[in-house]
Amino acid sequence: MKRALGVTLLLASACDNGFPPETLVDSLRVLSVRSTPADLVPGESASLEGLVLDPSRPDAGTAVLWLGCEPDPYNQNRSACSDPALLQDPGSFTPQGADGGLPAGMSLLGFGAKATLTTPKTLFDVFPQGDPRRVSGTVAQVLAFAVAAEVKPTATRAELDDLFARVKSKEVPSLITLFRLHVSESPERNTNPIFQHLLVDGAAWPDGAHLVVEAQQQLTLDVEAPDAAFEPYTNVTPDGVEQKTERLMAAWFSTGGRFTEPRTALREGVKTVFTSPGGKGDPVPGTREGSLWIVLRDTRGGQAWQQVPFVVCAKGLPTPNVTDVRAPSNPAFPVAIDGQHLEYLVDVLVGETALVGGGLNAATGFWEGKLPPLPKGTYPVDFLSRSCGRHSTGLSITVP
Amino acid sequence: MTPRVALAFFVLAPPAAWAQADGGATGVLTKVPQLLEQVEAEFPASMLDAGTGGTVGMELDVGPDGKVMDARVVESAGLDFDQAALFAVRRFVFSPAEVDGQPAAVRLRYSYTFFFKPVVEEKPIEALDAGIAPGLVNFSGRLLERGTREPVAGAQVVVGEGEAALVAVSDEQGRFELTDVPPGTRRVVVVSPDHLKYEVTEDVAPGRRTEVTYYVRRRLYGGYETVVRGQKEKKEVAQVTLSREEIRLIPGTNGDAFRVVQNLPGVARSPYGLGFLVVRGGKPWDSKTFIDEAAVPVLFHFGGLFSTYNSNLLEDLSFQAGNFDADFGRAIGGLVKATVRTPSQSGVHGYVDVNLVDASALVEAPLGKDWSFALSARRSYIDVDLPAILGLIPGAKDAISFSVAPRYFDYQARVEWRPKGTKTRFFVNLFGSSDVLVAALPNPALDPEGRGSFGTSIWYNRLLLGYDTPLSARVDFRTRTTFGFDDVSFNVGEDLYAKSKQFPVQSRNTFTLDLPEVRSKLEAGVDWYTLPYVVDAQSPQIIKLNQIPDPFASRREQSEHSQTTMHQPAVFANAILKPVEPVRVVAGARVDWNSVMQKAWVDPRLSAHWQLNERLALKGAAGLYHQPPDYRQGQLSATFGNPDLKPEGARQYMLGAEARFTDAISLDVQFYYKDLFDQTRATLGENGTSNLSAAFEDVRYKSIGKGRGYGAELLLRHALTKNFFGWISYSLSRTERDYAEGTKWGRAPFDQPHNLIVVASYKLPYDFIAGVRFRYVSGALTTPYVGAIQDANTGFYFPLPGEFFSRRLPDFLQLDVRLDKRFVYKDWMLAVYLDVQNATNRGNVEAVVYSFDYTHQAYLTGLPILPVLGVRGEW
Repeated sequence: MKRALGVTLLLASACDNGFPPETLVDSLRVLSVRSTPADLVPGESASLEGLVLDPSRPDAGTAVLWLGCEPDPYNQNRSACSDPALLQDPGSFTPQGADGGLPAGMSLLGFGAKATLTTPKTLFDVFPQGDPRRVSGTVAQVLAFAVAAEVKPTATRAELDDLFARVKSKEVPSLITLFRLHVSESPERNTNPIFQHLLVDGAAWPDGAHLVVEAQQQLTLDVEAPDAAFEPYTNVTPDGVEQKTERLMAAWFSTGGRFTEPRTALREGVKTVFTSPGGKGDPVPGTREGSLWIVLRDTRGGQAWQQVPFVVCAKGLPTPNVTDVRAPSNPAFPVAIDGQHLEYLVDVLVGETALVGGGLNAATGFWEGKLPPLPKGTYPVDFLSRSCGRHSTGLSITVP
Repeated sequence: MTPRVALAFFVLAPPAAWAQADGGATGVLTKVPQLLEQVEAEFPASMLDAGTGGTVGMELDVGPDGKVMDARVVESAGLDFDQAALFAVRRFVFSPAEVDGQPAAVRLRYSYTFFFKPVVEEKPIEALDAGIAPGLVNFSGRLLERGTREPVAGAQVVVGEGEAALVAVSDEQGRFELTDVPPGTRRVVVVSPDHLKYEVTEDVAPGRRTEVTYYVRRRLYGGYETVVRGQKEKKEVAQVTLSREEIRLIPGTNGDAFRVVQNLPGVARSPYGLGFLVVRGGKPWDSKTFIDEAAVPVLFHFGGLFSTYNSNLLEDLSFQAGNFDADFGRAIGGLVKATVRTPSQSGVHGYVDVNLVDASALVEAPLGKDWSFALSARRSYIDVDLPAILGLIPGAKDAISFSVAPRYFDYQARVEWRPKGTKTRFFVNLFGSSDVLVAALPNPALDPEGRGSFGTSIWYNRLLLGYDTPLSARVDFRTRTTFGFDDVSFNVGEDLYAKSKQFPVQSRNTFTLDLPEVRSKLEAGVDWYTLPYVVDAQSPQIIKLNQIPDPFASRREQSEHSQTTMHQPAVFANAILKPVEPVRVVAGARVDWNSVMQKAWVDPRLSAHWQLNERLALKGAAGLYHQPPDYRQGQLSATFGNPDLKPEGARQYMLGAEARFTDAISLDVQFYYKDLFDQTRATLGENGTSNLSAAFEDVRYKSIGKGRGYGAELLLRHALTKNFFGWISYSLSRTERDYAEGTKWGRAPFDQPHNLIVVASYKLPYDFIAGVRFRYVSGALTTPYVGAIQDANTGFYFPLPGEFFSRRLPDFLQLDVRLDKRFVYKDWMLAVYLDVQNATNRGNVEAVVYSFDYTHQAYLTGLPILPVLGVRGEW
């Protein structure tokens, strides 16, 4: 019943009440935490990485403090990392020396974009061999404490105290993210989802290319993932085991524009419609550029993400005229594009893949970008422009 | 000039206080007094010249011997008429009234009408005696009320004019007969205090008997009919009883009796007006509802719009906010008791009611001499309406769809044997209710594991057998035995579910021994409740208060597949003592046992009522109350709960007074204190411990909770009179409880300091009835959020709660209005009603909604103005 009430309130909150949409990234956000590998066996280590963004401070860094809690072998959620009383007070997480001052069972995993978590090898020793709880497992809990300030790992105690005081007073924005990592002796391992294509109005968008949209244009977006991403697994239930297949959920974010659905389930018929910036309360950015992020989650804790930059085009702008495409003899060098109005060129497409890191080289006058890894062959060269649309150059390029 | 006198009479229930003073008139009026000796009043000479008539309304106190002990004018027609009427009626003789089969004193309402008729020259009527033998009935008939076809008793039928006019008074069946009516064209006049004067001309043929049926029109319909019945002396000191008509006309309740209870002192308003029965700040589970002493598991259909039992079948409904006597138990809050009426023994009656939400129908009729039956049913059509309604809300239709849209039905069937003039009756009552909702979320990504549906179904059925009979002159016996079948299920997706089938058997058997020589009555009985049930459930462990739950519920699922039979026998006894006449004391106790808990408890209770004078009474009560923990939520489950829990307890105390300012206006004031102990509380998780390798006992609930409630309740009530009824209900209360395993103390979730309700209904001309209800209630409590953390496994934020229920939302203010209009036809009536909830379209705050990260918040307001138009045909 609580879930039903929750859904009702969720629907109620979905009504137009003036709240900023969940999909809009305009301040400090942690959109995803990814572990590699996606789950652990006791004694194994995981590399943790967060998708931490703060468009409100484009030129400043964000400090991330990683804290880990001992897994509860009984899977009873006993952990300081999920104790609301502790989480209300960021001061609880002020590290003092070698984990001193942290709540019992909590340890410092690292500073920065990444951290490493290692689970105790003896985690399930409290159970006899063959106990099903070793297979059903438990969770390791990790906190990513993001602070909208730059903190050096060498910061002094006084500097940290001052920062945490300002965090507590909300003078400095901060965000605590809780991540759970499944730990078990199950031979079936989970892997993070695989992002294959962004589908725009049902067709695959060129890999690595900007999404070029007109102001207030509506696009139906979806994500394509390979069959292998939908992993089969054995679920341990109270009455035995059952064979299941993972489901993949996509969460949609952007720096501008609006989505009809903040989340969609892949291959389940529901798609989101993205309306590009330009509407009321959603102006076109000055640079006419922004980003979309798609976070993929499977139903076992695996995560992956993809960034898709977008450009709000305008039909009145000049359309580039590409007269030549010069393939480099050395793949380490960029492909050079020659022509007129190249400053309005957004992406050059080799087949269905964009050149990497493309842009106008003021020194040479060419628009340059590197070839992505592609199978050998000859590919037509098209381009996307700020004047909207995909244009064919009538030229081709051969990948040796 | 010769005055003619017309008279009529009707009987009213004797007020309890007066009846008690006489020492005997308690129980049910089993025999209506008949006027045996009528003395004609003399038309005041002074009024002859004035040339007018008048009607004097009087109250007569008739003794057990049928003689008039006292008479008072309650509706004056002028001093001369009043004196003449009083002089006459004080010499009347009635047949003795009987209460519970014994002669008893009663109070009657009597109207005496003086008709002024100018003196006319008497002429011999042609063929006056032609063809008629003296003393032979040659004019007879029946008086029925237009629209309802109910017999009109006590009406005067006047045939002819002047000195030759003949008069008959209709009996209980509305029948009358006259002898020796002269043949010819005769004017017939029917006079009844509650009905419009009826005039007709009849041709009386010589040598033949003229049979007629007259349909007389009630002065006002749909209003405040007073049932001719005795009124039971109140045993309970803290009880409010509502009559059928009070129930039907209160705005905002759609005529539903059980929703009317929510307008009484001690009952908190539940959010969105949902049907939670929150009494004196307690949990909804603390209060119980009984229909003919059978426990009803679900009082309201979805949304709380209607109760699961048809109110039109109820005789009356009583509510006690606390301190009920020992005959009822397993509850530490309040008590709602409804009594089902005997189906019509006077003819076929019923109704069909159609409104925007549901349709219902009722039919009732006699079956032979002493049997009668009633059948009724209700079916909602929200499942038809809802898609259209969702279509009006932007995005709602895309957000949710229903595999089975919310729909409910209920049914009631009753057969009763009730010989007239006796206290014996036997009835069989079959009733039940079903609510089903299955919703599919088009976007399953709202759930971390992709569950895209949820559903709930509640179905209950009860077969109730009841028998009342006197075993001797002093001993009465009453038994109620109920057999039930309940099927309850709830699911989210396919893997989280709770299904239960229950087969409750309840038997309540009560013996009452009357000991008038020691001014006492003893009541004792057995209250047995056996509940065999089958549970099939799978869900995650309960979320502990100081834990952020793992969003992947399938990782921590538990299941239970069990069959259990819970026996809950109880015995109770009450002694109703009158040590001195104005003082009544009820001392009682009950002993309960629960087979699953393997625990027994004893609840002594005491109440006293002191009638200081006819206008003022004092009262007080104290008692101990227990109930088993809420096993429906699995609190006693070995898998999900704790079978070692103690019964939840309450010590209740009450002091109060009852004042009767006039016969219609009364005031009831109560002060109460409730001390709660051994309340079931969810335990805290062992967060923060560094010794996670240690095994631990996962205790989900403990009997460690404490709480207290105190306050004052006031009910200023204007009882049903000809044109008006209403009340002002005000509750001033405070309810507190412990939190976090007793480490904190704060307001209870349903704490509602102020609750003011004004209800009024007034009869207007042309069969219109207008009603209003105004409510002012303190805002609901909610737990503020002091922040939120993001759950990276789902991308959702989880709020961090502040002090539990420490934030009060803005106060609730609402005005509801209702207008009824009746169209009366010969055999049936058509009622059209408009019930407008929130007539001022005020946006009352019901909850707080938050942005995705809990940094922004807004109020969620309740329903806007909601007019409900309905049509009801009655016959």
